[in-house]
Amino acid sequence: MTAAAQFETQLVRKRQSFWGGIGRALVRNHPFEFFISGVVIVVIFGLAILAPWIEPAAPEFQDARAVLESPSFDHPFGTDNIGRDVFSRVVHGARISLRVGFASVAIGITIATVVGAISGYFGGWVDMLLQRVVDTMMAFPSLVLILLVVAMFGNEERFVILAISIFIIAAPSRVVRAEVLSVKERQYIEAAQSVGCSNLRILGQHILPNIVHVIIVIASINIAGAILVEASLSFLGLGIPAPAPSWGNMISGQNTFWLRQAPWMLLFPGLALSLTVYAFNMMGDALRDVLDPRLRER
Amino acid sequence: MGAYFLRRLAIAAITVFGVAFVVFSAVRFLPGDTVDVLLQSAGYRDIETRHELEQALGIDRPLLVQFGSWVSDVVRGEFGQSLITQRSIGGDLGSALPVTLELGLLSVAFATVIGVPVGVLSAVKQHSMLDYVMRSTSIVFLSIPNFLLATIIIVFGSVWFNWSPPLRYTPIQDDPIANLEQFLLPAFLLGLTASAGLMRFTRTAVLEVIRQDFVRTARAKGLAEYVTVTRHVLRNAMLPVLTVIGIYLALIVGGSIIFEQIFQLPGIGRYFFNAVAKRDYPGIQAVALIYASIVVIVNLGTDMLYAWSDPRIRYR
Repeated sequence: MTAAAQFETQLVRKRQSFWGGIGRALVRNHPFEFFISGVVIVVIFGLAILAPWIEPAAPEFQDARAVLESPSFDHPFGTDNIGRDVFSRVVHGARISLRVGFASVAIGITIATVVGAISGYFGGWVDMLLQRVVDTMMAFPSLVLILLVVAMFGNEERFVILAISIFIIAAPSRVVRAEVLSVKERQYIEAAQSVGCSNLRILGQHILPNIVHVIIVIASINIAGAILVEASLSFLGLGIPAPAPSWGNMISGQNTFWLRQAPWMLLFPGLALSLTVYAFNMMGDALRDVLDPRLRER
Repeated sequence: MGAYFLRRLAIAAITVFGVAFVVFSAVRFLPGDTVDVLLQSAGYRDIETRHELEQALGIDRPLLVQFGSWVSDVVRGEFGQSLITQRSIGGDLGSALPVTLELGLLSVAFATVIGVPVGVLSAVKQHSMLDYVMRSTSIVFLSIPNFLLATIIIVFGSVWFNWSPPLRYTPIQDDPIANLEQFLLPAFLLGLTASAGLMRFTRTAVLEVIRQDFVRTARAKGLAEYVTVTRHVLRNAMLPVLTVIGIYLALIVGGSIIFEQIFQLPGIGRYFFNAVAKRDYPGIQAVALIYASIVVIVNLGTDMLYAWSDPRIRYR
């Protein structure tokens, strides 16, 4: 190795990847939160992915000879009042919850980012108009807006996802707008404008990379919320339709008569739901702390 | 202050109008319209009855005309009558609204009594074991859905204590004790979840103030910690907390649908739920408008409170 090359390796710090940096910061600052929530999330994902291979019976299969059986080796979480295996339903429920949670957050946050970025970057009447629309959306109490959308389109899974993503849009778009407002005053944006970059290029190449940490934080916080909302909807009987093993359906108070005789029908899906929401809440919290201390507790 | 207030008021009015229009158009896209529901229950099927019915309900006219006449009715305080029960919506909501408000106020009271002191304590003792335990507990309560807690209590209450929530609603003027007993559990559970959020917010608000110079001065001149916290820190930290309590009230009032279902309370959430299920346009419109008005009024109130206490906001 020549002297020059040696000198260079000493000077140039090894390039850190974005995600690697976040991971290291999480381990350093919040080892406990990161570890616990990480393990829970990995386990829930694992169960959801492996569901067809680890289920004792198909989630909708009704075994008339095994009704209301308490947890045993054959049925780890027991069976419900029509002989369906609760464990199979819980792991398949994980699929629904994660699908709805991640899909609605992906759609909702993407739209929120676009709306917030346009509103903040262009300002003027575009901003005024978009913000009044956001005001209107924020004036609906959460479940009211979602119930309206589900009532309009129906309660298939894709419409539930649509409803929850519409509900998600408003508040994050405000945060993104505020971030864009502060970033667009920086000098490198002025520089980009003065060399003739198009607005699209400035937004995509210069502004977005500088607010992406905020977007990650909002997205991670909203996943827990989206999973909870789906469960509430299904609990009311207006979410994913009944035979599907959604956690909300399984907790639903409609059959308290059976729940009284077989509490495991209620406790296991409830535990799965709470643990999942807990893990995502905690992960979101730790991420927020690492990535954007200013957003704390807003 | 006057100009700021007028500007906020104008925005609030636009928002309510926007909500009214969105809901009004949205309900008309609901599949399986009211006419079908009514015709099926009456057994008529021919096209003429259908037209007559549509005419009687006034839903054969263009959307904008319908919207105009609805707005002018609402402005005069007329919500019209339900397409399903033929009862006056204004009257039904008049008896439903107090139920929801009582639930909301009681829940917020619980949330405040639990969340604010714990939040203050947690901030004052930052980094202590106590702080850590309280913060972890708050995430736990934020993560356990309160409808799950409610269901568990109802199920195990009947198994172990032979207790179950009353099925019939008792108005407060008939029997205040029975009425309060009925509201206590749902309000406590709703308040518990809210208290977790409120605790975290209070903690941050107090921490922000406690790091400031005037607090250091207060400590430096030898004030007791208790006096520093109550006279100097809390006085400055409580304003944002107060406004957040207002926002929680709006959130709980809007989010009480599930609890009104579980505990059989005839509030506007239940009314809304049933109206959506039966495609009762005027009912859905009226409730959505009331919800939006509550949210907008609360937001306006908190904005005003902020502007009144902090002049910098008025001149942004």
